[in-house]
Amino acid sequence: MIYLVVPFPVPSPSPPQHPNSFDRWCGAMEHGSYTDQSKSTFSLVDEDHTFANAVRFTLNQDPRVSFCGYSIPHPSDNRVNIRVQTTGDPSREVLKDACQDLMLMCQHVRSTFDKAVSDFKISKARKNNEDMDVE
Amino acid sequence: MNRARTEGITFTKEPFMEDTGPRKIKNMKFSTLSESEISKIAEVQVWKGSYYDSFKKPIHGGLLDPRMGPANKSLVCATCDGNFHDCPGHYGYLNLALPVFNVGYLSTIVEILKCICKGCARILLDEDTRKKHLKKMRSSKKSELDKIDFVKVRVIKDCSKVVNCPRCGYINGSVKKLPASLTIIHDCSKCRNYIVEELDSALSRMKDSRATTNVSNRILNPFQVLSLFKRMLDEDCELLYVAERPEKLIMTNVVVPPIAIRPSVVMDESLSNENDITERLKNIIQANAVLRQELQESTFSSKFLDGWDILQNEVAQFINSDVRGIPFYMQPTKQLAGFVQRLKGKHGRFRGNLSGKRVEYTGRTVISPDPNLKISEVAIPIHMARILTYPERVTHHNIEKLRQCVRNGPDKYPGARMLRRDGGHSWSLKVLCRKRAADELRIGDIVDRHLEDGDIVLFNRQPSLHRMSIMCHRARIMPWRTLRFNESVCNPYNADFDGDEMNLHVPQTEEARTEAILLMGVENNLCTPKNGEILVASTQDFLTSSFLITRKDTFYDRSTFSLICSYIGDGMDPIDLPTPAIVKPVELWSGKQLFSIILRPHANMRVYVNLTVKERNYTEDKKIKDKKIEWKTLCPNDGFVYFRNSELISGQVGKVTLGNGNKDGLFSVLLRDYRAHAAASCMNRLAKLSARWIGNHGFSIGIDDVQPKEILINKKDETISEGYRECDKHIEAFNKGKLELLAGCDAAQTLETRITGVLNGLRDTAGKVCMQTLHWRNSPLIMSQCGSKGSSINISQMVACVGQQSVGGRRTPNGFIDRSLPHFPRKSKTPAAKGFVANSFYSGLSATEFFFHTMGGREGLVDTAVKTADTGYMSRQLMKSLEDLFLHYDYTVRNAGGSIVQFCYGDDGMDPAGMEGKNGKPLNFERLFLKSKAICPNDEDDEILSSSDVSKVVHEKLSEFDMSRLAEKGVFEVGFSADFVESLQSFIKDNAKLTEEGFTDEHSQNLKKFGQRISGITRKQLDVFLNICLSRYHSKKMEAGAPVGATGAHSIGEPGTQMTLKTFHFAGVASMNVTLGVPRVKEIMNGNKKISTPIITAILERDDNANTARIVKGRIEKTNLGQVAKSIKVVMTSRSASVVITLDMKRIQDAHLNIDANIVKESILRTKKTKLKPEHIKILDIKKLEVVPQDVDRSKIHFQLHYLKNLLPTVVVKGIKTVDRVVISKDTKAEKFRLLVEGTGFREVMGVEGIDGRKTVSNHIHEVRDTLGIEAARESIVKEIKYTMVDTHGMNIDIRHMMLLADMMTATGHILGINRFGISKMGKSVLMLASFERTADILFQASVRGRDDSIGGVSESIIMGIPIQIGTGMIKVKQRLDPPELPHGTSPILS
Repeated sequence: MIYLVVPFPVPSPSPPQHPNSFDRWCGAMEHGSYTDQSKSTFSLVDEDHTFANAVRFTLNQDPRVSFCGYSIPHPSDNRVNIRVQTTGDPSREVLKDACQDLMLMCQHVRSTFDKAVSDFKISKARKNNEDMDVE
Repeated sequence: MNRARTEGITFTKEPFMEDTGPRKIKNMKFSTLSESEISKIAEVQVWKGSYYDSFKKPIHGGLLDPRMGPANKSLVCATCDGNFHDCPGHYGYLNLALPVFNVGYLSTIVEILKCICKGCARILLDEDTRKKHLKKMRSSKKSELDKIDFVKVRVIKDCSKVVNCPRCGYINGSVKKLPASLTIIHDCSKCRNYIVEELDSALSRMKDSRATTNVSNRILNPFQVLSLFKRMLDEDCELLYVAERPEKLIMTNVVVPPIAIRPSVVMDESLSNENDITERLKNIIQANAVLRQELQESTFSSKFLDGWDILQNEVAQFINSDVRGIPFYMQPTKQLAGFVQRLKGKHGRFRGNLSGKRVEYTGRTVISPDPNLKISEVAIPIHMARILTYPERVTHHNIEKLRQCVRNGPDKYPGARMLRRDGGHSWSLKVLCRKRAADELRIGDIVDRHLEDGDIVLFNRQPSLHRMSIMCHRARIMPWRTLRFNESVCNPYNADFDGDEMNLHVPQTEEARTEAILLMGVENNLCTPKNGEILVASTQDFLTSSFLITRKDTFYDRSTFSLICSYIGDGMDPIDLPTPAIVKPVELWSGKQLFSIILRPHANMRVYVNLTVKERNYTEDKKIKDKKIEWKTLCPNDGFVYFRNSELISGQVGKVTLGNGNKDGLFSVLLRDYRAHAAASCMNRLAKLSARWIGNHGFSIGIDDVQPKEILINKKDETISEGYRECDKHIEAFNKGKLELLAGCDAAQTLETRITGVLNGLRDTAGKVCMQTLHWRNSPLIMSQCGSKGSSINISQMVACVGQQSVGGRRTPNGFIDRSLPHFPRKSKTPAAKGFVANSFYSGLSATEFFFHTMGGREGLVDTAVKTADTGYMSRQLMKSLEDLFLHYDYTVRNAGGSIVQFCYGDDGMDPAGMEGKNGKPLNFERLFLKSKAICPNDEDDEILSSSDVSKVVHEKLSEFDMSRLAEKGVFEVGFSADFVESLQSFIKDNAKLTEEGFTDEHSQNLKKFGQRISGITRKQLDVFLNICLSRYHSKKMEAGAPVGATGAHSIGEPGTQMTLKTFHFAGVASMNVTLGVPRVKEIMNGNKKISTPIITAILERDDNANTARIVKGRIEKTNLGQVAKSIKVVMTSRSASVVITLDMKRIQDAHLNIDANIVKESILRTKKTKLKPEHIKILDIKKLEVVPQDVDRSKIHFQLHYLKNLLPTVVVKGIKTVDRVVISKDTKAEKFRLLVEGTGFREVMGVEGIDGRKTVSNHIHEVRDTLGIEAARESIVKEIKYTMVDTHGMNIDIRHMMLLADMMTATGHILGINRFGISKMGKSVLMLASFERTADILFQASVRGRDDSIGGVSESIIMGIPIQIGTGMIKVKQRLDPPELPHGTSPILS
């Protein structure tokens, strides 16, 4: 099996604290094979359970995904591996879609939150006006 | 090198260039030095006792003369012009005013003086005896040890008897060294002849003489001894086994050693710190100067004698500062070490510097566990990685990496510390301009770079008990401060994480790295060579997780199952999800399926594991109508683990499957069937999964887990009350004297045995009830079931009942008068009064119970403290005696001298580390058969083989491997051992027969066919099975060059540290206390002639009759006349006086003895003390005798009669004198009896009528040797060690190691102990013996005897720095040379 090492276009804010191997110089990598692009592992630096568990959730919602999971190889390494196996589509595309879905979910949550805050402020202002009328 | 570079060829290392000649130390010869030889090797005569002059320069002729080497770093040698590092040092010498004894040879000097005439210096033997002894000494058949023994036993003994010299008639008395002195005296006080008598009579007539001189004792001073020695003949020296002239044993000058071994340290302007040797030499010079002056001043006075003694003492202390005989006023206030003190002991030159050398590139720090690492990795702190380096040579593959390292320098990781050019120049990168150095880096340079990931390091934990204590790991550079590794590797290191430290070593050459990773890598050492069991295995948390994962009620949905599968390989492995165990309404996978994925993550991995294991919680098989029903896969507790083609069919996985020590476990099967990497990978996956799974799942313990329930409390109270009642019943019977006795025990012993049995049963019963009532989710219960920590006893003690405390293997002894503690009444024997703890740790111990508990604990602490020294010393002895043995290419085991110790290692040449079966068998046929059937399942059309067909196929297959003609006759001897072939054939025959016997004609045809497809054997299956067995057998042969001696020593010594120091074991009968444990092993290995508990196990010809056993017992057991006589009286009448003996015939018949008056008469006559003759004893009738004393005066007859009356009861009339006691032992299962004989007398016991001598054995090895020969003794050693370490302690050591030890002890035809006496007789070299024990004595004796040793063994190779000729060191390169053209005869002239 031929493993393909391709730099993944995820920006890395700064070099890691303890770089001691070639892998750690790259911000992200995809491990897979040329012949079968439906099974790949994506290695992300400076990520942890927060991102990985969330993207795992969205990947599980996708019917094209037959297997997905993540693992942190070592707590001292600031790295997370995300495994994606699909029914036939390229796993990179599936992961991109999952990230997109996650982004939409976050936007939805943020907009809902903002709307709730603004509604709360409006209702509070109205209540203050009513109190002044009584006085 | 320049030529190679100009041609464009580059080398990664220097090419080999032939030296002018081979330079290797092959031999070492020991000798003594004479006065002229010392003067020749010396460069300067030292005569001044001062060091430096006023200009801070060493004084010529002084102790720091520059001709002996530079005294410190700033000076230069005046002889070879070398500096402090280059000059090897040169000798000086010091002339003594008078000769003195060399204290190391003092015993030898005394021995020689005992054998020579003090007048004419000839040997004290007549001419015929002298020639006879000389002929024997010159015989080539005698070995060196035999010659030494001959001199001591025969020559010295014969010479000591001679008083008058046969040649000159001089009177020679005994010669001895005065105790607590360095003086030798010649004692003639016991020799008298006419000359001395005349002198005495003459002296007595001088009445005016006030003092009488003692002419008997004379002091032999060194001058006189030197004169005698010079006159000795060479033949006499040869006869006394002195290799050179004996005058060399006396010192007339002293060698001054080079300054290199005694350097001087200048403290400040006027002081310097001098070595002890230098100080000693200064004292000698001063004493010598004083003596010389005294000699010059007064020639005829005796004042110089005191000075001479002082000089003798100083020179003696120069050699050995601990020598006895130094006067008190000369004891120095400051202890200065002599040469002997430099050499001997644990910190001496041999054991501290030569055998154990200091090394660089080493680190040491605290260890921590890390389940995220692979088992072959070790995490190294980055601080350590910056200090430890590896010299990497620059090639075009790594030049960019190394340039970056050079730029980073020594402080920034990853960097480098040193740079070495191709030509040999080296720079430190601390101060160098690193950027330019990096740019100028060329291929061929060497960069000492920091450690990086993947480097090969050695990892070691002390004490290093076996070869897995130091293994090779791959480095993994990580932050933080500890060394970290996977917990699975804790077992071989015996490491825990309570503050342990471990050592790290970095090999510095490519060859060293290759050897380390191949021979010492963790993956290549998963199994212990002790017995072939796997040692690197899952432990603790890994077992708990596996146990919980594989429960029947564990299910996961797709997302959870996928996540957990990703943990296994860190998401890097492709995973093929199996079909869900439950499809509707929701897809669910079971925990057992998860475990199957650990074994085989995806379909392309061709690992098919087939095994069956019964775990700890397997339910006991039960019987229905005398048929044994096995639960197997239907076990209610799910304790039957069944893997078929890597799928977990049933069973919860626990310690028996995953832990160490089981040859049928999962990792063992992976290792045997699929190589070490498969087992290691599986362990890594399991470690990853377990650490993450249990982190999410959680596993904790609380007080609720050890809280007993009401049912348990009531049951426990009931059980204990019942037990107490039963004990009280026994005590009451004992007090009334009605207790039925056990065999060989008196009433007190019987009572103790009964009570102990009851009380032990109490705790067992409480434990069982406890285990039944605990909830299945109980954490301690889970841990004990899967084997991660604790056992049912621990839980029982916490929850139910602690149980009986034992001290010395018995109930608590009486420390006060008639009681154990003052809390109890006297003579109390109740359970509570003798250390039974009825409470549990949960309910708390009472005061007396707590005290009893601490007594038992204290014994454990004492045992641990004392045991370490004993077993450590035992391991050292074993290693020293067996270290040279290794396997040659002809499969013989030989020592360093080439002597054969074993013709075939272990009798079959197999490697113990590769044995798959029980008891050291090469293969496990049951498991391989199961594997063959799983790989090749039966089809409908396959034909089932019958028994005869099976035999034919087996015969054909064996014939293919064996091409000799013997195969036609059914004898397969080439390549396979007879045992293996026989067991293989019988196994296959049994399985084939099982198929045919299982079904009869009564069953229907379809049922028979179905049954055959399940349990029948097809041709394909049989072929696969046979191919696996026969090919795998050969792969388990021990490799040539293997250090079987060192491995054997480890395999016996390392389990010794696990044994308890004192073990009280009752061999069959309660009253027999047999020595076991470490003391017994020491007895066996030291070859002790007297052992503490000799026991002969006698087998009866008729072993099913108790009466027969008693009769034979009576024949063996020693019976005195006093035991069988009713009365022994003195009868005096007017005519005669005699002693009348009346036998107690009833008692004789009860004991089944065959004794009558005739036998008693013979016994009395056989006793020498009585001095009686046959006419003195009359037989009155069958049970009466009359003994008449000898004819003596009437006045003494009364005395004689009473003397006989007191003596006769001690006469042995029956049995063997050396036997103390005989106990009848009963085998309860087979209703058989045998005799256990305490004492010696093996030959006599074998010859007793009724004893089957061919089956009778003894545990006394020397007795076996004397009676049955050396081969029987060798077999006895194997059996005794196996019984002590394997059978009793459960140590499980392969028998091949014990065979090797026994063969080593008996190879010379004598039993040689594994101690300094036996090792000396094994023909070891001087350096090896000196590095073991008694360093100084061995070196001095080697000099006297002129030993000439070859440097071939392990110890001497290490000491001399020569590669050891074992293992990879035994390979040699042979150069092909063209054969020389020999000139033929010249052509004839006439042609």
